[in-house]
Amino acid sequence: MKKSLLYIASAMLGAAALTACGDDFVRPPMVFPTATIEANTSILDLKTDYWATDRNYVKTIGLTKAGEHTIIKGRVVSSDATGNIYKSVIIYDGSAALNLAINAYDLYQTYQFGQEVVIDVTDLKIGGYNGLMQLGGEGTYNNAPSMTFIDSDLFAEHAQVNGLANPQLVDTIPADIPEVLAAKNSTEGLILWQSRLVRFDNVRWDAPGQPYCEGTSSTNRYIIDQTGSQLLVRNSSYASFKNELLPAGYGSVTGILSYYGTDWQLMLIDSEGCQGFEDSSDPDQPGQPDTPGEEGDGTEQSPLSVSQVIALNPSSTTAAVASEVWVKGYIVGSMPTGGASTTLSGTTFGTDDAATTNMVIAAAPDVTDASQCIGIQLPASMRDALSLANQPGNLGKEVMLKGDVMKYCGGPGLKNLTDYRLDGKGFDKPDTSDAIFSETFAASSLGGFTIDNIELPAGFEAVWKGSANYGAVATAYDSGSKTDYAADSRLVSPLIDLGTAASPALSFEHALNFFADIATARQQATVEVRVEGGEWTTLEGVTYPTEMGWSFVPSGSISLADFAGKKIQIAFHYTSTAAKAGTWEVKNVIIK
Amino acid sequence: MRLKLFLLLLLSAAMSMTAQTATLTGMVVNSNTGSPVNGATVQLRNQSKTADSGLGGDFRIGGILPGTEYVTVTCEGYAAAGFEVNLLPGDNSLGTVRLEPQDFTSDFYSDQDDLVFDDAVFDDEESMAQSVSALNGANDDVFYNNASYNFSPMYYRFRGLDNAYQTVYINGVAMNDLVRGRFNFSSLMGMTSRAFRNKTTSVGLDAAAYGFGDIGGSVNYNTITDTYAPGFNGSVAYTNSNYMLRAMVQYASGMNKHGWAFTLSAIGRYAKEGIVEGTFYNSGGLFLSLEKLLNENNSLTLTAFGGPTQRATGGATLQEAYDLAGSNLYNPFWGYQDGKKRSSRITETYDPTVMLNWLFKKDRVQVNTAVSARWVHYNRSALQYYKANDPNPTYYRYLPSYYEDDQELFDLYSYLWRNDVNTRQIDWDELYRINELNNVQNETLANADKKGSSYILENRTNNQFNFMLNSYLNYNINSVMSLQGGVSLNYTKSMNYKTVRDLLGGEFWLDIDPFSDRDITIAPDNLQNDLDNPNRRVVKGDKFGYNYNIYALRAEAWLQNLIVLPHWNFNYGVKVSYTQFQREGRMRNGRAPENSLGYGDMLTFDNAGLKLGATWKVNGRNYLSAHAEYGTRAPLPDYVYISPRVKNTTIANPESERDLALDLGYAWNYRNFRGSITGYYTAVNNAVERTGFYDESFNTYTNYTLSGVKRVYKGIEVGMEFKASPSVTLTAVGSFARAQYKNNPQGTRSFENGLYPDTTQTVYLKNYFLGSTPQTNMNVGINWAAPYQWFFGINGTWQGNAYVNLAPAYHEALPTLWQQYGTEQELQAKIAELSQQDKLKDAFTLNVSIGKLIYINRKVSLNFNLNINNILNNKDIVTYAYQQGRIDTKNWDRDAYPNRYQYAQGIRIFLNAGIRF
Repeated sequence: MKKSLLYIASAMLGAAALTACGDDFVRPPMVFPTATIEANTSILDLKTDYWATDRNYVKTIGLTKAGEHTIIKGRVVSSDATGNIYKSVIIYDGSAALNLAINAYDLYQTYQFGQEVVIDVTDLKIGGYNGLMQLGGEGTYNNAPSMTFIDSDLFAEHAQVNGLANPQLVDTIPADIPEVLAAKNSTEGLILWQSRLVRFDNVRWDAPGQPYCEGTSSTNRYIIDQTGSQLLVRNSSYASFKNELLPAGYGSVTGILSYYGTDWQLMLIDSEGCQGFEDSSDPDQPGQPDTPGEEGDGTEQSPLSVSQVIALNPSSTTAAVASEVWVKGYIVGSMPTGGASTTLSGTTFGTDDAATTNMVIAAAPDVTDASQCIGIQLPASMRDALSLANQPGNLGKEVMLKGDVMKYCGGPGLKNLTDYRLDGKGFDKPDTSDAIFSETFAASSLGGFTIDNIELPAGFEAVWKGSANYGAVATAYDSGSKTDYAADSRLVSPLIDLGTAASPALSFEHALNFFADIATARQQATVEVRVEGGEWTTLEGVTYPTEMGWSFVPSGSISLADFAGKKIQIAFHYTSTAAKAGTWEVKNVIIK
Repeated sequence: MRLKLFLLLLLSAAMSMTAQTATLTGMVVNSNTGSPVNGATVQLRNQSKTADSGLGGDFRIGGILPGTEYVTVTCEGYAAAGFEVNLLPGDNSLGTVRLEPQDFTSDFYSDQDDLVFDDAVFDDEESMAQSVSALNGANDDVFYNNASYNFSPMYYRFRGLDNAYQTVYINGVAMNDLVRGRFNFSSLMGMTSRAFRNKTTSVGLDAAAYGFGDIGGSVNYNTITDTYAPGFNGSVAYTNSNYMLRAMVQYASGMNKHGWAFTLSAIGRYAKEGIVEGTFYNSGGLFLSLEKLLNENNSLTLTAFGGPTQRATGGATLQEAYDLAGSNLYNPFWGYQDGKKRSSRITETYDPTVMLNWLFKKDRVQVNTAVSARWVHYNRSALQYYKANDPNPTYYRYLPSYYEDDQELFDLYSYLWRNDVNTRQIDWDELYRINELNNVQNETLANADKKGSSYILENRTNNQFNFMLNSYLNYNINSVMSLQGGVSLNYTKSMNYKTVRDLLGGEFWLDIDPFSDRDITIAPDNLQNDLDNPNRRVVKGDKFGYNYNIYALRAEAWLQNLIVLPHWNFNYGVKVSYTQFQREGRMRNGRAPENSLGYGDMLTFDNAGLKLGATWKVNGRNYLSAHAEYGTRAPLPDYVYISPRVKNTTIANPESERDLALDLGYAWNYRNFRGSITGYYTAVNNAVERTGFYDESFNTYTNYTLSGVKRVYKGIEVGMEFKASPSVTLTAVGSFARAQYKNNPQGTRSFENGLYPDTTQTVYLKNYFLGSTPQTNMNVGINWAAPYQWFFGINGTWQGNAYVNLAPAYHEALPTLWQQYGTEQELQAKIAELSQQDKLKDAFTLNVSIGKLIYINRKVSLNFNLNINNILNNKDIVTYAYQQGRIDTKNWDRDAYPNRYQYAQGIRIFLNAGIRF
């Protein structure tokens, strides 16, 4: 029996030895992105080699002089996480920075701030987009080749991320405003400074206490140094920090030094780009002065007078003290835009040096004291009709304008015009006398128009809908889910009998926004015509806006002479893709 | 002295052929069960000659001086038997010696076999869960006996091994199916305590007389008619489990003077509603064994059995659903229709089997030759839907947790779940209403535009036809050596398809893949399940969805040699086999137009195995044994095809699996104390596994095949039995094991809707635990065989260290994870979180049993058993659990697709009354 206990003990030990172990779970390995290609070209060299002075141009990157693929690398110094930077990644390799325009959102996950990216740029497009050099795709603008976003899959084939993000290794370059402004003047300066991540110390905001961005489109703010030099900071309405308030006092502002047209635009990555300022809580706002009651209440029937506007004493260039009000006055002059600055105090009375983008009105046609005047910012859609540069005959005429009372050019002013009345005509009141057909869509309906869907995204009742302010609006973008959908839909007019008119013509006003680019918009928003029961043909000669935005532009007069005497239908033909669904607003359709 | 005896034995063996001496042969069987008794000692009192019975219960003593002798047959656990015989020179036969089992305990337990098998019937296509391994049966091994009955609540598997690693024989014919490797115990129709009572179990790596066995052991059910104890027995049982009532009758005629014998059995099981709400159980079975003794040496036995079973089942689901429903037995697969409960998950099985055995016995040779055919019918119903809301009440959008961010909706759904049965269960009336609406619309639609059912009930069918030939031989060369060997052939045709079971009021079902719909503009062919009959409209009974056959064939031969010496037993054996199989697609699937229709490549595998064993009988009380087995096995067709419902594609380079199994044991056998302790090590190399799951994020059924898998199972098994008094027995058994993955195999993911191409990647599984089987199990019990044939037993079981079956997707290297976890620390932490393996709760159950046997007279006896399992009513025992196969690739939220759990019922009563005469 004792012997057997020994057996038991030894058997147990033996079996225990078999099962003894301290084996931990083998976890899946961390996968770090690793680039397999090596850079052979600096960003500075690449930019220098492919630089052109044209604002818009496209070049294809070739091999290096040694006959090898051109490969660059750089560390990501941007992020689109807050939405202020849009569809772009900026990389910097110590020599220069490059904007990569990629047709994708949430790039900050794939190309993280502080992460190294190696790109075989051979056969990719590089060029200027309104003055900013960028790597991207090729599109057209005004029928000319132009830079646009590169397809994200194509870019991914060329780009390799290398290692995890290391934000500590990101260089932020200290700069001062005069230095940067001076750099605009030389090619070398532009190449060197464009797209760099820069920090301006000891600067203040032009509008402390105001939000970074107001309204539904981008807002321009300025940082000003102690010598008064200022730099434009452009804040997107899509930025998650748009409603945060600009801080008061002096501090440092960091962002990507972008470029548009002929001007720098600082793009913040996030509001953390503002450091060292005072508390950004609201500075005390002066109480709004009471509006003198005798003159008007801002309605069309009872517009505000110029002196009422002056009494409102607007202090912000972006926050209205009175919104969508009618103001009545006389056109007395404009603020010339050619000089060093454009201010109300510098108003030229009369039509000399007349500006296209603004005008000045006063309580009487003979006023010549700028302090008795207000400045009017003219939107592109009204410049033809209102500006003294285009319509010198308007001088001295009475005009009614609808807009927001704000500070403009250093004095009281009216901005964001949406309507006017001049000689009985107005923006919302097209001249429909002797029109064969007209439709404003202002009744929040599509009037007699009908919708013909060729492709309708699931869940959409219609792509087109009527709106009081914006006419017939087409979009296949679902703002709820923030998703673009592919769509194809015509807004078809009722049958129109052109009757006896010898040279009938179509006109309307429209605005296009959020298309991939304006060239794409021209293809995705077309106007078509057909005779009763016939095939649709596209109408040529439509004037489109030169840039995307919410400003309505007149279509110009589109001849329908070919259809004289016939019964026709016209159609606004909207298409979109799942990659990008733009918005098209059409109103004041007239045939006469 | 012992050495001299040994020499003497050898000598007498050598001299046994001389005419001057006598030889005595016979067979020892259990008088209750008819199964052979291995290791009984047969002794000639006057001449001091002894022999041990072999695996077949057979013994032979040679070199006897003729004359009158007194033979005793003794064996542990049986009453001794003695006979006076007059031995003549030459061959003398003692015939069959029936030993009366003294061990009332094991006899009592064997009546409970059905309980174990009822639980074993389990299948879920989303999981790796399989039937429990069932090596229970009359066996002397304390550990195995107790483990079989008492470790079943948590789906214990012997040595961690799947059912496919155990061979189940009927009369020597291996019945494991060639496609899935398993034996479906439900095909025995619940007759395990009657018609299939006679069986021989080979534990672990032990050698068996009927076949080569497998590394998980083997069992041979013997249905040769003359092994049934003649007479009638019948029983009626009540239980509160899957079924409520069971009735069984059996009559065995015994051999008549014309050499005919038959045994007839019948069984019925029934529950209007089982313990799980919304389930039912209808099963009936018949069994016949008919034997004709042709002459002294030859007999023929025809065995035929089959029983249709129809039952509704529950299944594993989310803890959230259990909690909301307030019961761990919540079953999402039923709902009300016209106020009546209806189940969507009905399983129908019917496996009629016929077998003809020819037994040849002469002198030292026994040959058992069999031909058998089996028709396996298996259907399981499920709801299918198209362009409609998911009818499954546990669909994640119907659960409050989906609305965590919206308190109002969260409260609403919580309220509905708790209070509205049509939220908590399937709303059949709503499904019919929607189909009816389609019909109404159809009245005004052109034929081409008509809408079919939005919801149907489909049948998923896996039928088989098996044809088997088998012959095995047992040759006692002399009293020391015996030889066993056999050849077998199995031809299987497996037929797999779906049919429409019920259109639920609709007009037809459109046979396209409902989940390929998004591809309609890009690749319209992708929609088609049957490209040659596109957009087919199917009605009740029509095959649709998929339809494929697998033809498999296996031929096998084995040979082994047993040597029994006074102090040593040796065995060694070898097995060779040839396996081939091939898939035949019956539909040209739109997702794989080139390789779905017609025959795929024929895959062939040559395999071999080697088995060694030795036992050192230190003395009459202590034994040390060691076994080893190494072999290769063909991969299973069910795993090799990466998406068998769609295409012929297999994993790259299908290769045979290589298995190594070792064990080392010590057993002791004293008068009052016996037991054993065994350590084992089993390594399975190059294995293939496949799981399937429905991936909601891609709207597709997804197959995930692992190949080149290495699994290691090691552990200690301890079983002890102590007789405190002649009537009181204490038992203690335990197993302490680790069953783990031991390498990082390749995983192939295949989307059935063809949305993405198949991908193969490394799956990091090394050292993770195999799911489901508890790795630590302990049981202690007391049995009292009280006076007047009363029996009382109580035992407690503790089981722990069981793990959730893991999903490979959580164990891949994730190439985009860094995009959201951008630093090394974050990345490491996230990987650790995602790849964690969840553990199940430990479980304790207390079981009580009471039995009473009443002899009315010498012939008629009554018995009553009452078993109360889980008397503490523990409702928190997870029988098994699996991690859902999909991973949240958007937010990497590990809880996005929570584990699915299945729970054991609480207290379970089994009351049985039987009569025997």
